[in-house]
Amino acid sequence: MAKKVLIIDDDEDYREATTTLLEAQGYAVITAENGNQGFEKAKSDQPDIILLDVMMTHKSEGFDLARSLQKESATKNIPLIIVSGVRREMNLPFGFEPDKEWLPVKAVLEKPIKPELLLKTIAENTQ
Amino acid sequence: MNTSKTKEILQRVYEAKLPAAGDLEYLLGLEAEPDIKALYDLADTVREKFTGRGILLRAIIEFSNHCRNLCWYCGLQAGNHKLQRYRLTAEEILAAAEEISRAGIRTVVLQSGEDPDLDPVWLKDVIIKIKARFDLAVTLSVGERSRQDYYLWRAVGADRYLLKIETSDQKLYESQHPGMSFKNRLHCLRELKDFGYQVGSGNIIGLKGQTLKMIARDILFFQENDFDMLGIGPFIPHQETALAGAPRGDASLTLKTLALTRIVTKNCHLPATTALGSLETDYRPAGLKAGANVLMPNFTPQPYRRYYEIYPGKRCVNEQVGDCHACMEIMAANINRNIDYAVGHTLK
Repeated sequence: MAKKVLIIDDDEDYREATTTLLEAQGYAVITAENGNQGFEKAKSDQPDIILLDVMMTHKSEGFDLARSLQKESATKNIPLIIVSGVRREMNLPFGFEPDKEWLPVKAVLEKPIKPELLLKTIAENTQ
Repeated sequence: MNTSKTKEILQRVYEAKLPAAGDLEYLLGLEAEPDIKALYDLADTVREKFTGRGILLRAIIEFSNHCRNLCWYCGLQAGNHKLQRYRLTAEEILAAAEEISRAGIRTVVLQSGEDPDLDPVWLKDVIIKIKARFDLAVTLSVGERSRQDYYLWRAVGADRYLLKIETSDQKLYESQHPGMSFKNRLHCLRELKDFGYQVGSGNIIGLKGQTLKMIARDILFFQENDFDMLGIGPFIPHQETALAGAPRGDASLTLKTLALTRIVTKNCHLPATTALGSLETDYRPAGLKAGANVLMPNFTPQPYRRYYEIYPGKRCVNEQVGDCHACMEIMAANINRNIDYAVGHTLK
C-alpha cells in the first residue's frame, strides 16, 4: 500500500508542486493549509509522515504544531519533517535543529529544497 | 451628578466596537459616587459575562533588575546607582518555577529590567527547561529586544509577552523615556503579535502631563490593537528618581481606567496590578470588583525581592515564596470569588 504523506503548508503552489512530485514517486498525498486543519487531518487520516511548514497563520505556528502533535496520543508516533523558509525569511543568524525537548521532529529542511533531498528524507523516515 | 446620563453613555460605550473618545473622557471624569458605582458595576458584569468568576494567577519571577533605560518613573532605571543589582541563575529560576508548579499555578512570568547583558540563548535554554519540566505557560517581560530574540524565544515555546506602552501619547511617551522611541515600541508590539505571542500591554495612570483625553485614547489604543492582556497601574514616585516629589497616580482614576478597559475590550485578561495594591491601601480587591480577573503572586526568591523596586512601598516584598499565593486565596474568598487554577490562555 502507498505510504501516505500529509503536507501542512499555507503556500498553495508549494503544496501542489510537492504533491505532484510525491505522487509521481508512488506516495498518497493529503494536504492542509494551516495548523488547525493539519492537526485534525493528522488525527483522522493517520499519515505515515508529515511535512510541516512553520510560518502559517502566525510566524511560529509550525513549531507549536510539532509540539502539539507530539503530545497527542493519536499522532505522537508519526514522524515530522519541518520544511520551511523561516531562517531566510526571518533573516535569522541561527537555524533550528531537531531537539527532543522542544522540537520533536526528525529533520529540519530549508526551503527552497532540492527534490532529491526531500525524497531521501521522506524515504529514510517512512521505512 | 447625572446618573441617567452616565448610564446612557455607559450603554453606548459597551455597545460600540470603538467608542467615542469623548464618551470615555466623560466617564473617566466621573466624581459622584453613584456614577462611579454604575461604572464599576457594569465592568463587573462584563467581567463576569466574558471571563467568568474565577481569578487567574500569573506567578512572577523577577529574574534581573539590571536595566539600560532611564525611564523617569522607574526605580530600576540605570541612573539609580544606589540600587543593588542582581541577576538570578538558571537554577534559581528553575527552583522558583518548581515552587510555582507545586502551588498549582499554571503560568510563570519571567520579568526583568531591560538587561543589556541578558543572553538570548541563555534565556532560550531556561524557557526550554521550564517547558520540559513543568506544565507551565511562559510569559516573558524583558522589554524591547531584537526580532531575532523575540522569534527565538517564541520558537522554543514561550507563550506570551508583556510590553506596556505606558502611554499611547507619543509626546508624553518620549518625554518619560529618554532615548527611547515610541515608533520602536509599536514596532515591537506588532512583531510580537506577528510571531504568535499572546501579547500584553498597558499603561500608567498619573504620569506628569497626562490628561483624561490621553487616557481615553489609551483605552482606544488597547481596543484597536486587540491585546490579549492589559496591565493598568498607578504611577508611584520613587525616591531615587527625578520624580521623587511628584504626586502619586490617583487610585480612583486607575480603577475607572481599569473598569472602562474591561467594558471596551470585553474579554481581555486584566490584572489587579501589584502597583494598585501598593498605594495607601490595597486596592486590588477594588480592582477585582471593577473588571480585573487576574492576580500576580510574586515568586521571586528572597533575598532578591526587595531589590526589584520599580516603585517604593511595593507589596509583598518581605513575604516568603508562597505567602502571596495564600494571601490571594483569602482575597478571592473575601469578595466571593474563587481562584481559577487554569492555564488561562487568551480568550481572543
